[in-house]
Amino acid sequence: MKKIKVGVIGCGAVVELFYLASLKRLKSQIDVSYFVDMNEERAEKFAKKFNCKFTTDYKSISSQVDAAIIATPHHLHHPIGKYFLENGVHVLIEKPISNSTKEVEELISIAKEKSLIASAGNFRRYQDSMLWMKSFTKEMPLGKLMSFIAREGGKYNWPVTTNSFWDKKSAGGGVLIDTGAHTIDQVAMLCGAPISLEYNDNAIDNIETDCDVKFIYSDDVSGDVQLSRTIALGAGLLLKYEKGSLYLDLIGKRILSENDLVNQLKYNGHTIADLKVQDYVKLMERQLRHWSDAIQNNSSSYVSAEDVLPSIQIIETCYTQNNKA
Amino acid sequence: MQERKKILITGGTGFVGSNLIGRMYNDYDISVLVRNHSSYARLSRYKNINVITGSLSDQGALEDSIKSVDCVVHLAYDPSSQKSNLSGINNIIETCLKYDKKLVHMSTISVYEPLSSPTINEKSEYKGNTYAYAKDKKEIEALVTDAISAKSLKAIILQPTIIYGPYSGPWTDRILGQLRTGDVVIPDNDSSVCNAVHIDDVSEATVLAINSESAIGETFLISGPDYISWPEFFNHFAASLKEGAVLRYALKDIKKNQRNPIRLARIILGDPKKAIDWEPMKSILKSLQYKLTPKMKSTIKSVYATYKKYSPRAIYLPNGPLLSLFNSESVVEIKKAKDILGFAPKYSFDSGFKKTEEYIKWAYPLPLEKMYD
Repeated sequence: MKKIKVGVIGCGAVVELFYLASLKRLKSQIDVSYFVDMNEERAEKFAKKFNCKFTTDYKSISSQVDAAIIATPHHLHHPIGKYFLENGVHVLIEKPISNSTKEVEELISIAKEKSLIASAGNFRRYQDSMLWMKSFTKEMPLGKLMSFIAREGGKYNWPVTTNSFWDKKSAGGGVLIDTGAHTIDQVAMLCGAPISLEYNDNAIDNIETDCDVKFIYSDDVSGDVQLSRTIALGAGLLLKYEKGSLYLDLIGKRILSENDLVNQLKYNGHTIADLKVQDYVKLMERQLRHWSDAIQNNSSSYVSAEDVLPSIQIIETCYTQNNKA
Repeated sequence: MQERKKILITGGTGFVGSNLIGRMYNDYDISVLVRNHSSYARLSRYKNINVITGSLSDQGALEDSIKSVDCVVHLAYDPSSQKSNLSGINNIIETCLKYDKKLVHMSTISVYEPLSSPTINEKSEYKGNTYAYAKDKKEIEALVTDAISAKSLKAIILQPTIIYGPYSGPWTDRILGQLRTGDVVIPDNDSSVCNAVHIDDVSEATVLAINSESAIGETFLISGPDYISWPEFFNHFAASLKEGAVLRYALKDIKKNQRNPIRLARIILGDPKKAIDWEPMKSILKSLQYKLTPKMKSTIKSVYATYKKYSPRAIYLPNGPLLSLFNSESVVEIKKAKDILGFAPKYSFDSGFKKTEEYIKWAYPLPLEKMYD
């Protein structure tokens, strides 16, 4: 089968730490043709590793690639994604796919109209534990969801390469839109979208480092999400159902329960005891494989822009509530 | 209207710096010198901070940032390189002298350690070199003191005591972290004295120093309005966290345990980070730290976190300097700070701890892994 020609737009930390290694492993499927970055030196440095071209102008490559991985500062996800889709190029956009619902809806609509794949870089959805949980929540063997607590946080140590990350305009927000793009997405995927939200954060006049979100489903069903860039909270989700509860590592493999029924359940060939952990590079590789399969074979097992839309809606509602306050 | 003062803060992204910026943000124009973008996270809540990327050894960046401010608050301290601490303070002193700027230098009570006299005030004697941090801070402080007397540097030195409160690494987070994963051993001494000060009071003292003319050239001990015993101090954290125990051992038993290889092995297995206290390990890590890629660092962290999940419950014994501190009965006097700076600490230990409990509740909730059934 013909390899997909891919351009990588943005040469920041996520590309350096994870995409480069996973793209190397997918040489038989993906032909990396271009690296693009405003910082030409970084683009050149990465291009050398793949013996491919580099440029500072993403627009100049749209006719030369089949697909683009967009890993730029958040505020550029939408305009660059839109540009490639309009020019007939499939996209995989890093999380958060965009800073607003309207922008995501626009990407979905262009992709649909042009029969292109617009995938979201929410790679945690490809973890075996998340796939197991997806089947679990479909079957609801412990009955109705009653409440949940999700927590994710750690002292911030991501090796950001520019100051744009701390700027409200370009980052779109703080921990909620950054870490939360994963956490909120996982919670929304497993628990559904709430009917209302209560939001609190610690931003003074820029972005938040810590926040709390309450998901309200009805008078007696709700859930709490706590996110932090300053405190070690781990990354976990406790789900309480009518007939029992379980704990899930948001990053990792563990699903823990004292419930015999849960411990015996087998989904995708796994009980919770034999789930395995996948490292980030492996997950990125899985993400890229599903994306390229969708492009080449019309497979539908990739994470689409539509899949993550509910989480972007939740994040947007939180920020809007805060502005009103 | 009075013009807003312009302040440069070194170490602005750390525990004291972040709190100080919160206190000053509305009334001062603040610049911070940061070494890398990642460390800026805690300050990202604020929009109008002038961020200068550079280090204290970067004379050019330092000159540019100091010449345009009214005062420098020097909080930065690098435990991995005393050489850069010394060159940093020398650069700051020279630049402040060159442009006639005021310096507020944050030193520490540790310069008086081991604390042995019944009271400690600014006239108390500095003892011999006890451990790396105390020795480093003493050397740094000496350069400021020398520049005050020899070159009329307009500097004020603050020596805060046991700073507790939200995000305090040594005196809040470390204690809570230890209680979460094990039991903490302290000497069984109800007459011991913990001279604690809430972080907000340290920030307040710093603001007073920035604005004081009469305090120039002086050194001030900064502590809370009251004191408690060390067992009381630790028990407050254990009671608030509802995890871990504070074990009171006789002094001689702690010393015996420190020398018992089986006990030591258990302590290190319970908390491998303890091995970092071993001097040869310190130098290995120091030489490695710039060679490790972010990925390697994150792998080490994740292996450590996994190990900690399954490791035996730790017993945390104080090392030599901490043991001496926890057994000390010296009371720190803050009369000079009250008289000259106008320092009036707002938080008694009880009220300061009540405030800290809000943080403990948010930052140390019961782990979710312990809540499923």
